[in-house]
Amino acid sequence: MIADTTERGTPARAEVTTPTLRAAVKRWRFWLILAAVAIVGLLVVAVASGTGGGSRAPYSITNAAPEGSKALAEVLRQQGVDVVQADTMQEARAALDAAPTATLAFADPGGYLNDARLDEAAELADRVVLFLPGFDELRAFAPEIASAGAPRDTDGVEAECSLPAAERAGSIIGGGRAYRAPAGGDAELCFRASDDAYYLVHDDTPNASVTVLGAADVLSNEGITGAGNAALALGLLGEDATLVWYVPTASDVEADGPADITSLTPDWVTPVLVLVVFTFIAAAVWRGRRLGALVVENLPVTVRSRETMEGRARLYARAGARTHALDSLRIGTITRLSKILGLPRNATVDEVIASVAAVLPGRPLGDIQSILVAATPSNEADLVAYSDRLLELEGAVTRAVRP
Amino acid sequence: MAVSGRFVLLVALGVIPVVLLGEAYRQAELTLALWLLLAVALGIVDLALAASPRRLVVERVLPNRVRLGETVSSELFITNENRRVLRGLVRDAWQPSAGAVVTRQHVVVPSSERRMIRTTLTPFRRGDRRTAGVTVRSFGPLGLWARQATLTSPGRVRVLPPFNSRKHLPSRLARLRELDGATSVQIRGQGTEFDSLREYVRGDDVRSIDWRATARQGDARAGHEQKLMVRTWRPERDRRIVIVIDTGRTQAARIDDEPRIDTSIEASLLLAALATRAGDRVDLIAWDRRIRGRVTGASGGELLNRMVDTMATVDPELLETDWSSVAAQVRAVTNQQALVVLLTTIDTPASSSGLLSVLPQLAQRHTVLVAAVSDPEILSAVSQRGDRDETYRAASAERSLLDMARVTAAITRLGGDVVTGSPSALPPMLADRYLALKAAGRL
Repeated sequence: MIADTTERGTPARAEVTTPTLRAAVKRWRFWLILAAVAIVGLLVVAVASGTGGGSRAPYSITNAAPEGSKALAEVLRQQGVDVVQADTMQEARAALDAAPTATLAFADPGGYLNDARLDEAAELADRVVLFLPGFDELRAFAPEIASAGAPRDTDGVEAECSLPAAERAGSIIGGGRAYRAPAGGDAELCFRASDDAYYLVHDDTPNASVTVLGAADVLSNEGITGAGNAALALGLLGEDATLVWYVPTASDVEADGPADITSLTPDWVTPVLVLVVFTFIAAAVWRGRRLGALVVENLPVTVRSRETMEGRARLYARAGARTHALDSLRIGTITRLSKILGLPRNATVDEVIASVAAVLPGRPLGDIQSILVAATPSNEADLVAYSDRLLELEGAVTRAVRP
Repeated sequence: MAVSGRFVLLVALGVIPVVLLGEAYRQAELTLALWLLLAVALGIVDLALAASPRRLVVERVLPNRVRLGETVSSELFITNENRRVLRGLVRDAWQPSAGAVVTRQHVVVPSSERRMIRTTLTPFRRGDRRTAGVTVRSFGPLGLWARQATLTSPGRVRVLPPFNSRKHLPSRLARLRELDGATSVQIRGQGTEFDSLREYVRGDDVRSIDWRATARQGDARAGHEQKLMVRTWRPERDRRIVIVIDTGRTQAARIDDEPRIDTSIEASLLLAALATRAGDRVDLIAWDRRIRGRVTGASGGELLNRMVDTMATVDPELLETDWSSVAAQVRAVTNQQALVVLLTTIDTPASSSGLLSVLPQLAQRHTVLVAAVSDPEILSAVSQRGDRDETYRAASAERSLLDMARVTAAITRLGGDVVTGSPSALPPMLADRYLALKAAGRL
């Protein structure tokens, strides 16, 4: 019946739907160019803004932001001072050892050094300039000098002392911290902020000659151009051929903490983790590349035919339509009974009841009438019971008629 | 481009040199970088040495048609026009219901040679099953990286209705032969027509003696022994049967995991097979709001051939069937009196109102037979009354049966005839009803 025909395709080179690399590049050309332009633009902006790679910490000589000190360091370099940046005490010590005469510029705004380390730092150099030191630093470097809080008067503070650098500067824009030294000591006090508080205190301790500078604006990129700020800064820091700029970092803490996890693990652990990442990427490409596009197929809807029946049953149950449900069951039973009893299609219910009573002489007529017509179910147990009696009656009639 | 599992393994194996050299020379980072470079370089070399999947000739040999449930094999010939060996992974993209067991196969095709890939298909759904193309992934000699391309190579297999009800055909044909002249029928009545005159033999019904012919016989052969002549009759032939298959929304419902339309197709095929053997002419219309399929003017084997081909691609539409035009469609097929078989659904009076409204018009000219699938689950639900839910379900089932009975009664009153049965029972029941109508001469 079914013809055994076969279809033979034409043996020609098939059309290829996968685009070639060239076509793919052509198609995505706009977006590729856009991405390239965006990346180049971002690089240009990053380089132009000059923030690339710079520190964000205050007093950092690589920080070009307003609160950094890059301007000062650059000017010092132009003046022939060898400015060395040291991030750890080891670096600072190495730089100071290398230069016979050197100034140490020190500030620890992060509080990375503990007391013992601060004591160690105090012995590093012969000439030290401290920027806005706190109690701990003062205790280590210059125990004579005490902090005097933040002064209110900031503008155009006069030198009023014999320190050469301060004299040359004349007046500075203050702000920051003020310090005091005990009366009768040989400390030089310059740039008076209030009664006995000064912005600049110079003192010779057994370790070194220490200069404490409390005016933050003197160093910062933002404030260095104000009044004699620049002159003061250059005078203080440019005295020696080498300036070691030591601002402690987190590395200092690590150096004297307990041995950390990186020093305990073998070298190859990180490369192996990187390799695992690359393996995952390769596996993702391996499993992710589809062998051709998905195949589309229209599927027919699946409709279960009994859904309407089930839905109506649930509707009866939810509404508690007991009488209605029982009536349906009764009509079905009566129809079947009239068929079993051989009654005409248009036989009335009373005729059916009479015929049933005739074939079941043991049952009273009222009972049959109650099952088939009269009884009303008052609850759902009644409904189930009546439905069982209907089935039983049907079975009894069937047995009576066709033994 | 694609990479293989082998490449992933190669990358992963880098852990050995990284650990060993990292332990020995403290050069783990460098080793890692070199290993990754090596892997990528090997991949690039492999890719460069892979045969191009674009330079292939694909040829397909495919059977045109298959009956649902049977298995066919689709053959795909791949000719390599490269100068390199093709080490390929080939996927023939058949639709899921084409029932391809294996969709991706490895193949090695030397240069300028041809290899065959066989895909075994066991479709599990009627209709046209297609494949759009062939995707070839061509690996290099190391099997690390691969080139990939999809080649268009359309293929189509038409999956025909299974016609499982053909098992009922022999018994019905035997019954037909009883009706037919093969077993002599001498009872004159409606539905028979004059066949021939022959000599009386003992056992013939005396009522069928044709006295006029007997007298004529005597005249011609005067002097010879008088021969009694009897008339023989045979069932009417060359009647017309128009089968209308409803393809509206109600036909999508599944009964016994078979859509109603499939049962309708089975029933129509059995009826057509039987009727065309009986010498009647069968026409088929698949209709919802427009004609979805139509077979006219065919007979014998060609009729069934065309019917399965037409009905293979017909699926129920989510539309309400427009019964008002059915009469016109039947009229377009034939002007004679015919047996019109409507294969549809008898559900509720409301949903059957369209059918009921067109019946008088059809019944005026034709004999109308409405065949519908009934749900055996409804019948079984009626007698299951174990608990509260089942009792409510039984009540609902009784209501459904009552609705169907009302529609059936209405159809009968309007001059139609109704056959209902479960999906497996409906085709033989329809064939039996046809034979009964034929015997009764109501065609």
